[in-house]
Order: sequence, then structure tokens, then C-alpha cells
Amino acid sequence: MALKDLFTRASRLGWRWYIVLTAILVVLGIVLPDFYVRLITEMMIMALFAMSVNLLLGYTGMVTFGHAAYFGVGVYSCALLVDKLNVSINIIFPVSFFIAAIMASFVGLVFGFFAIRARGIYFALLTMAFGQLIWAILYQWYDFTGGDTGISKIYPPEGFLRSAEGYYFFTLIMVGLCFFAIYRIDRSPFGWALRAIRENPTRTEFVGIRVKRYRLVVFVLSTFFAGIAGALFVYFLRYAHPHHAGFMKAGEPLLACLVGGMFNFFGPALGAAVMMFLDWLTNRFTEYWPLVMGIVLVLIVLFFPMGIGGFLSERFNRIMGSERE
Amino acid sequence: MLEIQEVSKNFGGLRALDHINLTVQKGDLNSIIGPNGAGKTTLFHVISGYHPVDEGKIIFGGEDITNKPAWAICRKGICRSFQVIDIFPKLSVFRNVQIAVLSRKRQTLNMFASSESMAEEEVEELLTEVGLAEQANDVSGSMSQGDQKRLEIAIAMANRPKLLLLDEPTAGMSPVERVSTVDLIEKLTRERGLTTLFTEHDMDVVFGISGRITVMHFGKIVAEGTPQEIRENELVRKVYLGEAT
Repeated sequence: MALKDLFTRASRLGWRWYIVLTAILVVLGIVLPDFYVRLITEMMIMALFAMSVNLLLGYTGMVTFGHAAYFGVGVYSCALLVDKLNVSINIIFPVSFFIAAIMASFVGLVFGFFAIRARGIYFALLTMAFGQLIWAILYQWYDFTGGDTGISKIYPPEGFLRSAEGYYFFTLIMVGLCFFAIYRIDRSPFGWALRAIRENPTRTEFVGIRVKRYRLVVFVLSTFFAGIAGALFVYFLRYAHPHHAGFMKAGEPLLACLVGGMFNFFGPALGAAVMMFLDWLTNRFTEYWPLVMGIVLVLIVLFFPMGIGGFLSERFNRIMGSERE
Repeated sequence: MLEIQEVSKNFGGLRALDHINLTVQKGDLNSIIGPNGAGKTTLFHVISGYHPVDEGKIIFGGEDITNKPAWAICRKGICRSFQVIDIFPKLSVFRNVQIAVLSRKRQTLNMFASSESMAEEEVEELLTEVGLAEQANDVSGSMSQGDQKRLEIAIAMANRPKLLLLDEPTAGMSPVERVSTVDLIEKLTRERGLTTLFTEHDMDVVFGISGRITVMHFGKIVAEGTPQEIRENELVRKVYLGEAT
């Protein structure tokens, strides 16, 4: 069948697909109207968030329900810096990204240290508890964070960055760099150690690997990227609110990983894009987005248990970066 | 090389190990036999750091390794294979062994290098030694039990241990496979200057290659000696071997 041949030949392009994708994104950024440019910007940010969660979920087998906490720390690090400091945004903007990443990683280190003492469902519950802890602090510390009024007027520097297109390309570069870093981790010995821990943590100990330490390392890495996603998000939305660290937000990357596929590189990003696309599509016709999302999830779990990405990687191995060699 | 001194281990009310004393010299190829539930696997668990002891000491190469964590003991040079197959089922055969080699080389915290072909030669060499070279890219969980057992041995070898603990290495194998595994164990011990301790139920294997045999029963050591001595031991006959040996 001609179409199948086409796909097979296409899959031999392998990693070059990412260049194609980047080129497509660049063109879309120039060509599309602002509304769609913003939609894709948000997709990219959520894709990064999903990838950060997948470092724990897909690679290491650790389910985390509270990752929005670190996303929220990223959001609020930038928001508070902009709001409280009387310094030019041109200086604060780049600095805030560093601070967001460092703060998110630091909170990740502290929470992670305790969370990894537990395993499985207990670990998941602990992450949820820590997530709620951050949410509660942001919500209740009204004097500092503005509570549920939130913080508004978080604008990127004047000029190109403030336009939809400008921020789109900035996000594309940042997310691209993060994806590259995550790709290196994916292919590295550390990445395989994580998979071993997922498959059989006991055996991994017997091979000489300190499983607890590795779990903490990957935990901090994932909070690092979640923090960057948060920072990108707040300048995109230009508004910070405690529910960016809340439970509902925490569910989004998990769903994205499930829908897109946990066990290949690009799956979570694909899942995030699909989820946002469906969200946009559904909202044009009905307000019952949760219902649609629920149905989609059930269908995915039934027919594509490895996610869409998993399904694609069965067919077109090298595009999706399947982990089976 | 390995000294086990008065080691005891209880699981609630069950006395799994009762004042075990055992010495293994460098270069030995010894076996531990006994009925199921005698404590053989528990002994291995305790040596390799899977369980802590309740009493006693374990000394390896002059160093006290009692109750140290599994990863530390592995790094000190004791590696084991498991009675119930314990590999990385979804990963390929190559990756199974590669992770062990990379761990030995302390490369596993490396996040930047591409691991595609790291240590490829060493992994292939190990796979060839155990006869799994052709299945390098197969998903390990889908192989036959005998092959998986051989993979276990390869993983244990990948860490270049000084002491190798093999828990029922030929369980589930056909007679032909059994012979080749036994030859492999002997060859590895000889050529790589290993010390090997294994448990087994197949008496041909045990009497075929053991230098010394230790017999366990109900958590105690009931006999210890050369194959000849053990064969002639009345108590061992009664408890384990059966009269017709």
C-alpha cells in the first residue's frame, strides 16, 4: 500500500523529523493569526510540563500527583519578582527564569528527599500532599502572594517579546533547549538506569545502583523543568493564581502522558498537544469539556494502552524514539 | 575470603538461620544443598544485603559487611543470581547486561553521553560467554526460562565480582542446558579467578563440580565436607539424599 510505504520511508528520517517539526512550527508562528499562535505557545509549555512529569512517570515508574506545586513555584517566583521588585523588567525577565528553575528545584529537593522514602502509592500520596501544601501557602499567604486574587500584569519586556509571535518564538527556543536536554538524558546511561529502576528496583540495587539516590536526582531534574514551564507560563498568561499549583493542574501532565504515551520520548508532548487541541475543539461546540475528555481517555486506555505515541512508535519506530532497541 | 560467623535470622517466629558458621576460601567452587525451606536462599539474601541479620557477622575480604545495603555489597564484589528469575523483563538482553556493566564503571549518573553503544564490546563478550550473543536484541522477558537464567548469570558477571552467589542456577533447564550451564560456571570460576557459591537441587550438578558441600536443614548446617564425605554421611542420607544414593 502506497501510504504505508510512505510512512516507512518517512520513519527512516528518525531524528530529522524534529527538524521538520521545528521548521513547521516556525512557519506556523509567522503565518497563523495571534489566537492560534497563543494556542500553540500554550501547547508547547504544557508539553514541557508533561515531559518533566514523564521523567518520573515513564522513565522511573514513579507516579506523582503533585507536580503542579513545582510548576506553581516557577509561576510565582517570576510573578513575585516582577510584582515586588522595582527593577526594570528587562533585567528581571531573564533573571526570573533562573530563579524559577532554582526555586522549583530546591523545593523539589526538600520534598523529594522525604517523598522518595516511600514507594508506589505512598509516594504518590506524599507528592499530592506536598502539592497541596504549596497550593495552600500560595492561597493563604494573602499579604505576600495576593491569595486568590492572584498577581496580574506579569508582562515580558516591551518589544518583540510582548507580542504573541515574539513570545511564541521565545517559548519555542526555551522548550526546544529543554527537550534537547531531556533527550540527552533519555539516551544516557542515567536514562537506562532509570528504566532499570522502573522495571525492577530490587535487581537494580543488586547491580550496584543506589536506587534512592537516583530517584532523588530524577525527582529534582523533573522539578527543574516543571519550574521552567511555570515561568514560561506566567509570562504567557500574564497572571499568576494559586490554582496553577493546584490539584487540577497536577492532573494535566499525567493525562497528557497517558494519552500521548509514557514509554517513548515524544509521547507526553504529543499528549499535551492533543489534549489542548481537543480542549479548544470541544469548547467551540459545548461547555462539557470534562465529559469529552473523560470519553477520550476511556477510548485511549481501551484502544491505545500505550498512548497514541506508543501506537505510533510500534509502527514508526524512529520518529517517536521508542525505547525498545 | 568469606566468613560467616554465628549468623542467625528470624522471620517472626520462624528461625530461618540458626547460628550459621561457614567459611569460603578464595577460588573455591562450593555448593549449599538442603531441602526446600532449609534456609539456603535466606543465607544468600543475608550475605548479599537483601535482609539484615539478627545475630552474627559476615566478613568479606577482612571487612565486616554485615547489614550493609545491597548496592554497597555489590560494589565490594559480591554478586548474585536469583532463584526466581529477576531480570529487567521489558528491556532487551543487551540492555540488561549493559546496565550492570555501566554500573560497575560508575557511568550510570552520566546524563549527557549517548549510551547506545557504550561498553558494547564488554557486553557482547559477556553475552557470548553465556551463549546469548544472538539474542542480544530480544526482549528478555520473552525468552525461555533457561535462557533467562543464563542472562541472570551474565548480569551477575557484569559487575566483575570476586564472589559469585548463584541460587539454583540450573532450575528449569533441560538436561542439555544444564550441562552447558555447569560447564560455564566451572569455566568462569577457573578462568576469571572467581570464588563461587551455589545452591542446587540437582545432585549430578552438585557432586559433579563442588569442591566442598554444605548441607542445611531447618536453618542449621548439619554437615560440611567434600562430596565423598557428604555422600557417606548418614544424617545427610536420611534427611536429604535418600537411602538409594
